[in-house]
Amino acid sequence: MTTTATRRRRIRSPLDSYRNAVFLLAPTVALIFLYKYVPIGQAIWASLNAFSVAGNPLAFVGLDNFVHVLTDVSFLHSLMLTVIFAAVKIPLQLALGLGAALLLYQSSAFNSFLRVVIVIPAITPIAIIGIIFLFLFDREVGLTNAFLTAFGVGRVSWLTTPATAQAVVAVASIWRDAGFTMLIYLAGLTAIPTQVREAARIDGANGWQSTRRIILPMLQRSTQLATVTTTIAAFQFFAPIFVLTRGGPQDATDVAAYHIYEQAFVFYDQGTANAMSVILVSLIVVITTVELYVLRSRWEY
Amino acid sequence: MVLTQAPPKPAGTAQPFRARCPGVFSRFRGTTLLRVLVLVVFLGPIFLAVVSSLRANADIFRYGGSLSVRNFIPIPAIFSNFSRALRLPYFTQQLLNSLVLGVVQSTATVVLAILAALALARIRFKFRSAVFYAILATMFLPFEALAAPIFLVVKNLGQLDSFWGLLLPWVAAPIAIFTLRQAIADVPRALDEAIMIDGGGLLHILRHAILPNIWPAMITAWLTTFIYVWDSFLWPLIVIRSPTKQLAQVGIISLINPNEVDYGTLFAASLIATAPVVVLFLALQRYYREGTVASGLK
Amino acid sequence: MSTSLTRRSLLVRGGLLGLAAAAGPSLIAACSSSPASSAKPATLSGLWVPYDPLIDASKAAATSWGAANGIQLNIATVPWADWDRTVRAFPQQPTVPDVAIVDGPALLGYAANDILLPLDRYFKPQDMQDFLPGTTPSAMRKGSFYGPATNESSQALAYNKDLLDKYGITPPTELSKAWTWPQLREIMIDIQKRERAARGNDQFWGMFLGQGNFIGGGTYTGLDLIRSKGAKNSNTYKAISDDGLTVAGYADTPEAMEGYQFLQDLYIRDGLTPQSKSPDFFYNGQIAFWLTDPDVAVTGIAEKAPTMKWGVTPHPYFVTPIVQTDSYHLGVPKNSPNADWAAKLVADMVSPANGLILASKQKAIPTRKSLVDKADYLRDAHMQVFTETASQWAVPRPITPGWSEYDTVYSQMLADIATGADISKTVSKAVSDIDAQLARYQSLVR
Repeated sequence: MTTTATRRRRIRSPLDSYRNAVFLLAPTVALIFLYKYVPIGQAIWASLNAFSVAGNPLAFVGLDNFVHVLTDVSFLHSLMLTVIFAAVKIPLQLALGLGAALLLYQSSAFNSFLRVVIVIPAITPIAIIGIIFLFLFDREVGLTNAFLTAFGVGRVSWLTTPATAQAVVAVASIWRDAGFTMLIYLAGLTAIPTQVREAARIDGANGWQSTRRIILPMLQRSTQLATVTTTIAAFQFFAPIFVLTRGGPQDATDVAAYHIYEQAFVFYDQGTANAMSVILVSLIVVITTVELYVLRSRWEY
Repeated sequence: MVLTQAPPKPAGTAQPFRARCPGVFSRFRGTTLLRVLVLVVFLGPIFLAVVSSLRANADIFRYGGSLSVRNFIPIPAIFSNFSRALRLPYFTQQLLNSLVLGVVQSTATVVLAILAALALARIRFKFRSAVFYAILATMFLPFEALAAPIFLVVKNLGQLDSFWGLLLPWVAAPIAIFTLRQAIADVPRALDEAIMIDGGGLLHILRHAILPNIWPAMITAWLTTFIYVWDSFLWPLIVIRSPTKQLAQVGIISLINPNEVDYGTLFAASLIATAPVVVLFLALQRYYREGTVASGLK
Repeated sequence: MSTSLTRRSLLVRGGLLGLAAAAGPSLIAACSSSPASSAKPATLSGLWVPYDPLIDASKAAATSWGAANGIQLNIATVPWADWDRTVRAFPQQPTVPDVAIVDGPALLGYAANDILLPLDRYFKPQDMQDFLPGTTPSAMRKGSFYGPATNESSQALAYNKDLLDKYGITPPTELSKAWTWPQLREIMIDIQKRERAARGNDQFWGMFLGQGNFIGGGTYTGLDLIRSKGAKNSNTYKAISDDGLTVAGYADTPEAMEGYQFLQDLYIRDGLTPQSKSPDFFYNGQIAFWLTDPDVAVTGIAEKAPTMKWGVTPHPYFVTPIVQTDSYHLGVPKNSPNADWAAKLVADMVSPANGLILASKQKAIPTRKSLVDKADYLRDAHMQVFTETASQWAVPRPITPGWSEYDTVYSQMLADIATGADISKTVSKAVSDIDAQLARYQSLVR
């Protein structure tokens, strides 16, 4: 016995080796530092400078860019649009994802097929989703208007009227990402122990009550994960807007990500764009932190 | 969170959804109508894209305005859109670019993530928590908000318009590290100790104890990254200047030019660009689901 | 997870670290341009737009010089959406093409940003006199010439002859008898009503405005309508201040506002044009009139509707007939290592001999006045009106160094107006946005 114990103590476990940890983590840490943390510093630096139209830094201007940006109605408007978009997207998408998960949970060939069908848009390249919706809601050749004219409603200018353009963009986003949310909830559902479900059934609670009072709270972690990922997706929503509306009509879909893109890559104003980025990132950090705190799981099981 | 059910089984034997949960949800069996609606809503637009790719543009514009049956079934079906898409000057090159980048980035991401996750899950060292959270924190930054400064960094490193500029910023993927770390943590330490007793080092532990048990998570991470590469739009848009280096999706959008919107070719090209991702997903979805479950919501 | 505090503080620490790292040797200036002369290269690289007639014509026009000098021109294309951005990035690129196609109105901005080589050395005074007046103003900066046009463009109203014959309408072919916009509108309302009744559906429209990608016609076609509301050389007619930095007082005059209202009525009140961004409707015979430029019309119709009988009538106007022209120009990036050779090629491509090839292969109007008389294809039924318009009514688009910013905002403004926005609010916001963007060019003005 003593011999084994001694032998154990004498062998240096590779699992306690600091050197090994460094080797394993070095590339990752270096890359993350270089491409995630340095840009944050870069953004702060750039936001404190003015840039020429050729993209070169001109002069240090301190907080001028921030003052300009925070008093710029169109940027504030785009921030507001982004927040409203997130506020609409998150509950609807979670509801759709949860509903789909609950609906298709049962094992059957049809259900398996449907689960795949719902995920296909989620993995389709996003700009292609944009093309599909561009066609679907085209005023003259789109199928949506074809249906509406057939039922006597008349043609709607989906992508060229502010309110409907916002609706189309929101629908495209929710429709597409519902698959991801469904997968999160499906995983959460399978993690619920059978005992709990059995207990609910024996209690005789009808389907909806047991769902609401027992299952939903147990999906807390799923909801937390889904909320945070959907929030981030909402704040980085770009490609469909690029394809469908380019921020229009009349700036109705000019969300923050598109607005910053336009400042940096259409108007070549790096100073303003980076100031906007700093503000947007700060906002996102605050919002996701709040979400994580509010939705922290109270259930351990 | 620990699954209170049976201890984690080796890969490949995890039970599929169906066997585990009868009971409470049985009332949903009768909702066929709802499920048909789901089918129409989610498959409909994709089906429309497929149909439109088989129609001539003149046909689309002539009949698009009404509920003609030609909008749903291509009569006649033509394949010239596909041949035109493939004969576009850069499209096949761009498809290849996406494919190569997809494979390379996915593999590199998984490799890097496993190494990092191994250290974070198994090796006890000072600052381990700090490093982990520093990596994790970046997961909550949406890229689009940082596009401008990351662009500046890449530009200063001379990586604009290059393969490296596309790959390097994203190859260290916090979410892959996160899920793989969890997967590795789920592998019992008893296995490590068995190898250590036999005199094996870290590499042996990795190869014999860890890797065989985290296949689902690895494949999920690989597939997720592949999908992400094919889905990336803003980054290749601003970083790549030459059409020969561009990725498939951005190349397709560039086809929307000032003189026309060629729906037929656009849809044909879109379907071609979507096929690899869908095929891979269908082939690997079993692992994808298991991986999602195992990585869980911890 | 009670770690939110730790994470946040880590983020801050990480950010400060990043700031320290970035503030260092972060921004390295681009290398200065190298001298243009060099040993004779075997090939010259060219960056063109993906417009096949232009590419084919350019290759043909470059053959004789290429054979004489033993230098081959290799043409690569840049997607439309990346065109401006790519040219603007030339000074920072390690490798640039030797020759590039640039957009006429954007030339001044490129010259002001020191992107292109001045080409005065390669052209004689008689060349400069020979170039059509619509094509040179935007290429001149502080007396230097930055690039000749490959061809001149034009705009006129193409129409579906079969359709108009059916309703007994014969549009004028002489510029002096050109229709006014109100006249055209009445005719279109009439035709549209009758044709829709005949078809039993609403898949027919009076006109298609512009080349397609911009609802409202954009700064190429839509702006024609607005500028013609002004008397010659009035502010409305000029559309921008002489220094190219201000649109307030030019784009928002009372006459211009009336023009915007007319545009909106075309789209909304009278529903005379579809919002779909494609001329396919015209090829299908679903549109009566198409306001566009000759290359697109001639090549498009020949390819997609070869059996259609069509005619051309002059561009309609309100008070002063005006058509904005100017097309693609050839430019030489200043930091190309073969800039001298490239400039020589450019000069040769627009010489009297090759300039004709360049234009005729595109069925476009040549850049040189001397060639306009020689080009017989310009006198065929379809080209006649386009050609006369280019000689008599042509003006360049607004000349400003901030062309791409102006173009982006103004085109979006026209699109918003055309789709029903409140005109005075939209215009005043766009005008202040444009002026704010143009103000950044203050130091670069000519």
